[in-house]
Amino acid sequence: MAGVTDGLWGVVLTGTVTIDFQEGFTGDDLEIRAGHHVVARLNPRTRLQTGWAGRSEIAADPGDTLVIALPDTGLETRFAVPADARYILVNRDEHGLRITNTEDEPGYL
Amino acid sequence: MPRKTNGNGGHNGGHTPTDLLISEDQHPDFVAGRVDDGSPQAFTPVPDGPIPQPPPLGGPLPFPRPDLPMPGLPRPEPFPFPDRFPPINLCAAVSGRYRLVQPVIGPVLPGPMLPGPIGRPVPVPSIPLNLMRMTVRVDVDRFFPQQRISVELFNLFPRRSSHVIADVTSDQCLGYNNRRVTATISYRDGDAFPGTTLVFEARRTTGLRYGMYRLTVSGGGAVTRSYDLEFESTYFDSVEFEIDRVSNAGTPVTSINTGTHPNRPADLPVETLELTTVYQRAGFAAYYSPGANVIPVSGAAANGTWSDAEMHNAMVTHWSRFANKPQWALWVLFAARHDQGRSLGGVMFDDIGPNHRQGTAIFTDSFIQDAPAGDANAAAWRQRMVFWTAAHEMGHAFNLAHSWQKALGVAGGGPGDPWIPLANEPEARSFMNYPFRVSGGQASFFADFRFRFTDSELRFLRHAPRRFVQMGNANWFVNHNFEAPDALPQSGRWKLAIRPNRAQNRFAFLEPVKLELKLTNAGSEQQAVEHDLLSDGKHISLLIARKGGKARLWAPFMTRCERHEGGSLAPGQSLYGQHFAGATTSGWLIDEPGLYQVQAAVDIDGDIVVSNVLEIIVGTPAGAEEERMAPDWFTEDVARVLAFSGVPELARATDTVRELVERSPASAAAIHGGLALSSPMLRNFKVLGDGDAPELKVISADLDAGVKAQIDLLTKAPDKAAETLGHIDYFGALDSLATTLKDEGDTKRAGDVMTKSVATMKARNVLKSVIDKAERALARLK
Repeated sequence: MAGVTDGLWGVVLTGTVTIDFQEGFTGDDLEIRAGHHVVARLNPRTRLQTGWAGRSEIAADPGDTLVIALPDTGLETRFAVPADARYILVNRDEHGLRITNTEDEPGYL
Repeated sequence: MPRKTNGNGGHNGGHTPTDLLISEDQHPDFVAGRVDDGSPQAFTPVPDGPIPQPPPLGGPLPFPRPDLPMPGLPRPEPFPFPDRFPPINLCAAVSGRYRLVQPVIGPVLPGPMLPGPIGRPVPVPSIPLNLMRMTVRVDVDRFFPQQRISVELFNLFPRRSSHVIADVTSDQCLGYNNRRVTATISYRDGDAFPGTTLVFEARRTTGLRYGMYRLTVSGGGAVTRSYDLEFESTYFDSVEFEIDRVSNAGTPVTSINTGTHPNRPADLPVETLELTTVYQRAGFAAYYSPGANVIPVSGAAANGTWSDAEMHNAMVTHWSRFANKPQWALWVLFAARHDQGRSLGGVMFDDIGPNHRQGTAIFTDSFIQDAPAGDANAAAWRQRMVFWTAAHEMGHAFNLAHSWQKALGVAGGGPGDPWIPLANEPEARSFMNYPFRVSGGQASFFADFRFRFTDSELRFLRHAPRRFVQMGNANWFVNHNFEAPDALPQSGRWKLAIRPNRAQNRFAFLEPVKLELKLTNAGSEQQAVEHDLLSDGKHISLLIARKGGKARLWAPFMTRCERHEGGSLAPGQSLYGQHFAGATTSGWLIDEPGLYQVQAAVDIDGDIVVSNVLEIIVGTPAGAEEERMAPDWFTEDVARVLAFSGVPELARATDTVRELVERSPASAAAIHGGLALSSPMLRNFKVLGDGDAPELKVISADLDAGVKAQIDLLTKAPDKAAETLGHIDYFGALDSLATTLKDEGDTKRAGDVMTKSVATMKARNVLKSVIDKAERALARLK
């Protein structure tokens, strides 16, 4: 992790990443973890009209590892924050949680 | 095309959109009709395979619309392809909506006066009720034909509805404007529609244009039936769009010139499309509302952005057509920005309240304005993207899902459930896919985008059960049960009348409404009829509606399973039946003061005979006591106690009846109540005990009390009792009482009862045959 030791979970980070939850979420508890710390909790629920379930802005630098977990379902995925993308897109399907990323802000219609 | 109105005073500011619209018969996506060479294997599509088209003619077929005559017989000049065997058979387009021509069963009555409910003539609506409606949607040509025929069927008798969709298996032009389309049913919603195969025929009659349309249904063991149709529209349904805008949202984009952006299909016709054009080509007679509004930005509250609730409130306030009911109408709002931020380009926000999908919004200050860096024509890109977004959000209001959500269901059912199993179409070039979501991104999308919906989307829009598609999504045919007069012919063979046995069609509050049905042979020959056609409610369809309210279907508390016993009526002879119409198995149908309409129908070997529309008035409570008792009285259990002339097991309801008899002894309701309380006393009455293994218990008869009560009820004020109980039940009760007395050996009192009965019959002008029968019974007692 980058930054100094006096921040949200022990460090102060210099960057942020936006995580958009999109298809397949039904309001279950969801955690975003960095290391052993839970840095965000939310209950995303996909709105079928737009395909958007919710958004979380997380302080993290490229290379940092984040974990997205749905504790009640046992689903969990781990990924490194990419260097060239400010937006992480999370979709849930029959295979689990699927992570993609984009430099441009995703739009919904 | 429907008349186009530009309700927003020129949304796009300046140009005249329709100037560039390619007429349908010149448009390459338009199939104007069909040419066959006469071979028997003409056009045979494969359901869900590639949709075959008529033989290529190097351009649109020279056919007129079906409502126009075919020009230039024998065939247009110049002959289109002289190097081939010349086409023989020419058929104009037939796609569109058709409805059933109501068969004329017999002479239409001009509105005679029937002898009314004892004394008062009542005008008889000559054609009171529409018992069957059929809408047929034929989809084999015009824009983007889907090779489907769908049929909506609504039967009132018996009351059921059905919707089927059939895949076209053969489409033949058999001669000049002589078309036959055969299809196999592949989807059913409801089970009222028989058969498996549809044949739609359109033929000339005396002129050049089509003059006869017919649908024949066969297969699956069903009797083959043909229905004559009449052409209604080249569109499958009509829809109105109201385009409103928030004052800071800029000018709404409701049209697009398809040629202004260079990234487009090379063969895309260059034309100016309206949003209405998009939906017209999808099959709807779409038009703009002239009632467009400009909404102050203050509607979005202090933050200036819009929440879904704020938009819903704005829709309720500003939409000129707003109503909490299903209707083919849609509110489209152009606003600047949603609370979600710039990432939301538009939304079908209306999943609030009981009627969803009535409103959509497009956000002009959002990412849809972000043309790609270095785009060749950024302004045209933005214009196209806003137009695309508007068509997309409107598609959601028609219940279309995103292209990648087609296979998605919602647990327990919901708007996301696929109506038929669908495959996702993540690469579709459709209004319902995200341009930036396909492989290659938006550039790839628009390079192949032809401003249309996919075939599966078109099939849904055009052929799915309409409640799935219509904005506000609701039960079909609610409030449409009663037809204005002059909508359906009456049978010429039979006449059915419904009436109360009283001088005025007025009932007291709390009084159980009993009505009499009379079926008369109106023909000139003896006719067969079930002997219990009117006495057993299972044969009768009875609709009751409080004026201005919904019509409800009555069902009898009891039907009988009896050996079939035929009967017949001579010309002019009648059959009678009487029923407790005020209540049905689910509770009371007539339980409030006001005006009610009642209409009955019976089916006599396929001849649907409908009655007059009887209007009855229910009075207001006679006092506070009646008002207080009403909630206890108008219960299903009390209705059962009255309908079965006593149900001692329903102790609480029986107590309610007893209370009414004691507190309002002079009321008409007390006569019904008294009969229900006393009838079980006339015999040993068996009831089922409580517990896990209940046993039959017998309540011993109390003849003295029962007989006394009934004699008081039925003979002290016979007119009053006969009026409220109705002749059939009243004289039936007297007969039953006399039989009980006779069986007990009390022939004197039995004779007294029958003497009273005969006298009352004579005083009330009862049929002579009934009086004769009663007098014979009386003679046997002496």
